[in-house]
Amino acid sequence: MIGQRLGGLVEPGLRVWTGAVYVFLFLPIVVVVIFSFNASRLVDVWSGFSLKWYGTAWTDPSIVNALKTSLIVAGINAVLAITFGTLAAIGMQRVGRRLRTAFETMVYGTIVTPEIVIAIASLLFFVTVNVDLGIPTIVIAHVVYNTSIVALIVRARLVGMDRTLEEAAADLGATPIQTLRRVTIPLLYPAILAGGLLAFTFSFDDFVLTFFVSGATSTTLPLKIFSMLRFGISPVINAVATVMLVVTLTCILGASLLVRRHGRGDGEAGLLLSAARTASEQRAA
Amino acid sequence: MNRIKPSDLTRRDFLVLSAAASGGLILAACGGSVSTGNAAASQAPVGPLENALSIYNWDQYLSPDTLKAFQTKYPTVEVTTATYASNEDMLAKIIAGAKGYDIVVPTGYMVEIMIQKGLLLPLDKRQLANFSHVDARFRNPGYDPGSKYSVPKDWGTTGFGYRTDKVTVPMTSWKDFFDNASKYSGKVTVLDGATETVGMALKYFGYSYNSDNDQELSKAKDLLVKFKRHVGAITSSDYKANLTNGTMYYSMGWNGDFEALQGQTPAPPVKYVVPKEGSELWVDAWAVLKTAPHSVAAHTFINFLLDPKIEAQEAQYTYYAQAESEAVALTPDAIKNDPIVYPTDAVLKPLETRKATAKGQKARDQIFSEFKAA
Amino acid sequence: MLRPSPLRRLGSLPAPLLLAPASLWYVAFFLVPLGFVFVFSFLTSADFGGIEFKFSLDNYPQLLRSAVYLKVFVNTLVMAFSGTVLCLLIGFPLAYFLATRAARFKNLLLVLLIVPFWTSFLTRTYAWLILLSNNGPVSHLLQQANLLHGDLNFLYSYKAVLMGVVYNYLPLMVFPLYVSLERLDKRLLEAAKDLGAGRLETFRRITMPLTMPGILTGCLLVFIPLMGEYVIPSILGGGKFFMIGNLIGDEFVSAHDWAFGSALGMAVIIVLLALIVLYFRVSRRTATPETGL
Repeated sequence: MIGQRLGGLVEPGLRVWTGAVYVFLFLPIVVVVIFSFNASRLVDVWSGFSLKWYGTAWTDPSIVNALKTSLIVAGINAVLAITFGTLAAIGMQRVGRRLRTAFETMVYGTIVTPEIVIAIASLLFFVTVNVDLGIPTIVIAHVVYNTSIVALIVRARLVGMDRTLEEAAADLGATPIQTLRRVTIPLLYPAILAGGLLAFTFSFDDFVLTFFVSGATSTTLPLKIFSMLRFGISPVINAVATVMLVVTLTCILGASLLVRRHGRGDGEAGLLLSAARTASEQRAA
Repeated sequence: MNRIKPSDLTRRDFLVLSAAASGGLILAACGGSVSTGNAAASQAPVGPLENALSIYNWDQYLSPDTLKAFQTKYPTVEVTTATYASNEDMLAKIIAGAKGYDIVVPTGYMVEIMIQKGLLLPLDKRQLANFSHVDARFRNPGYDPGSKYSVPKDWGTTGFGYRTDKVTVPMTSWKDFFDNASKYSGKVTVLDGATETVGMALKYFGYSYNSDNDQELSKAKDLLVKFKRHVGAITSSDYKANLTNGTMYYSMGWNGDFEALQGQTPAPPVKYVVPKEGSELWVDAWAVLKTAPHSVAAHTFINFLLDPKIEAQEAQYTYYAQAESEAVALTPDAIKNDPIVYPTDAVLKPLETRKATAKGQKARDQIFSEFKAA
Repeated sequence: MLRPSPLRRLGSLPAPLLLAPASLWYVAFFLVPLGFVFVFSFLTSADFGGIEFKFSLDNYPQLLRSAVYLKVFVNTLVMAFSGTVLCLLIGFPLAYFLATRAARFKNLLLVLLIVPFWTSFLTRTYAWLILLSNNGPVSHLLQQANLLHGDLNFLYSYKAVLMGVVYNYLPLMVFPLYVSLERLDKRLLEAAKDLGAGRLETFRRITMPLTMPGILTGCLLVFIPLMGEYVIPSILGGGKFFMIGNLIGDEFVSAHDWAFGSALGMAVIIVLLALIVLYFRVSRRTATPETGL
């Protein structure tokens, strides 16, 4: 009987729990965004609405440079990650089981290794082969992780995809490259884009790895925020962080819309979940 | 490359520097080594002024007004700045081969290390006419005899500050600092630097700040490990804000930071103490990297910074003491007469400048790790 | 199970070639650098930083020589374990709720779960410093509600670190849990109810075992990166909770002892590899036909 009574509490209990968790997750974001518009310098007392911190950030050349650097790094990284990741995803579908498992292990390895370990490894590598630390080294290091992200997302899409279109193209005489170019990739378009935008976001926001492999003139926005944060929280940082949030949100929403238009209407989350699902399937296989 | 003299440099250094503080004492000896000028500098003709300059500096350590003034005077030179939070961070980046920086701002002992590792460019004094303004006492520091590779930027002390309203019994020594921790558990902060924190533990026992003696270091370690549980935070930057809002009651820190606290409105009731047993007297210096792509611009900038008027301007931004008497004369009274910034001779007497050895530094790093892990 | 595509047999484009660009990249910029860590762990650090190519076996014994490093390792394992368990306890009900919503809400809720991750990670963590400071909004709120007398004193503590960990790692736990829970055949739950099992028993004997793969994946995805966590203990813990990630970072940045730092890195890699192998063993055993997982 008590079980029944308690049972009735489960559903509303879960509701409250979920609500509480979401409040917890969004509280800092809300604080950051709100105080970026705070008229006074204090970050814990509200004294009126103002856009001046955005102005300060915009007129600070080191902040603008950091933004430029971040955008360049994230952009190049996304392009490379998309290229390698998509090819890899398609390849994974077609190779034999052993090669696939080996490659997959590598993919998971890059995702699961703690960032600090990759960071020091990359630093040692670049220093030993005498490559100057700078934008190229940051991009190189970022692409490792992001290729895997793209590969997983695109593969999830591939798995669920209808293969008959490809086979039909082959039957009609298309060479493998043609099939790839004109059938497979267009069909994968939403997943590729979603993966690319995710890769962009991860690179844009990255800190630990970038800290170790960046050079004199290649300060990214997270690095700049970090050096500003050492002297206390200031509304300028809030303004910069809000800008970063808007940039990444725009990317992700853009990805969602594209997926909805071209795809099965799964949305972003759907793709990520398919990736997770496929991942667990593959492991048990 | 310079050979470092093994003589008792630390004591000589502080004698040299403490004379500058009172501004009037005449120095007895200028240090045993008499190296004049820049024998190491090349005698090749000075090249043209480049159109860029990259400064790798501590954060908030160069007044934006100064930068603007420099850009106005030399509009063809585009200046970029990058920042680091500790000498070690900077050294790590330079060793890792970060190229593109021209100027760095190491503390004295780090200048010495970088000279040893061949990372600095010998200065071309022909391009540093304003070097003549630097007080004689600072021209021949133990860490860089003859100022071959560096010029002094400013100097200061490391000590601690405490909230007089929270800690009602006055504190004057490292003994107070460490012994009171149990009373104010969780309200104490120390600097995030092996050199400083281990050094202060050594001073607690009256040992030298630069001690490499195993037993002494071991006692320092034991003190720190026992003290760890009362530590509120290990930070080189958060302490200002935390003292202001009362989260922390006393913090190890640098004198300029505490001076800046006094300039806040409202100013928190914080008193800065240079402990009786002694502490660190440090000099930060401008230096040019050997790999600097714009060495002429770098020299031009440093020369610009050596102008006493500019130095006085800097002091009003960073709140640190300048190494030129003419600059001191131009500084507003509020700063120039403030004992936090320009302490008296008596206060400076027990201070030492850092002289690092590989073995000693390694020992300090190890102890600091143990402290952090305790 | 997936069939290899018949297209792989056609024509001039061998499928392995498609894997080549990514593979080369991985080898050159992932495996080789890790190899460097291995090599460097057998060299000596130069004075004040850098490396000397002098072979030395001393770095590994140094790991064991001082109890400190072992302590840091253990502390890290404890924190990673605690963080993982917390994420699981908090995330499971959340995932359950999400998995049992109508389709149109599912997506929205899932996207909302990731949105916080699109602010700068550093700023998010620092925002907690604002929120939880002794004179911050949370403190004021609690004081006004009479739930708190005196200072909040939450920051710079172990619980603050754990909170930061949960905050940043929760989605990594929730996603795999959600996948597992969503695929759970609800008819099994109904059948159990029909057979007279109470909610708790159903949960214990049906839900949990069937979602075990998701649980294990979630735990792995949280635990392993958490072992290398660097920023959270430093910011929210006031630098007092020294984890292996901080130690390795310190060795490279502050102490400039690259050789020893590499040895530490190798130790972490080995421990993590062992965990992954363990995970594969355990998950193979718990993957049952019914789950299709």
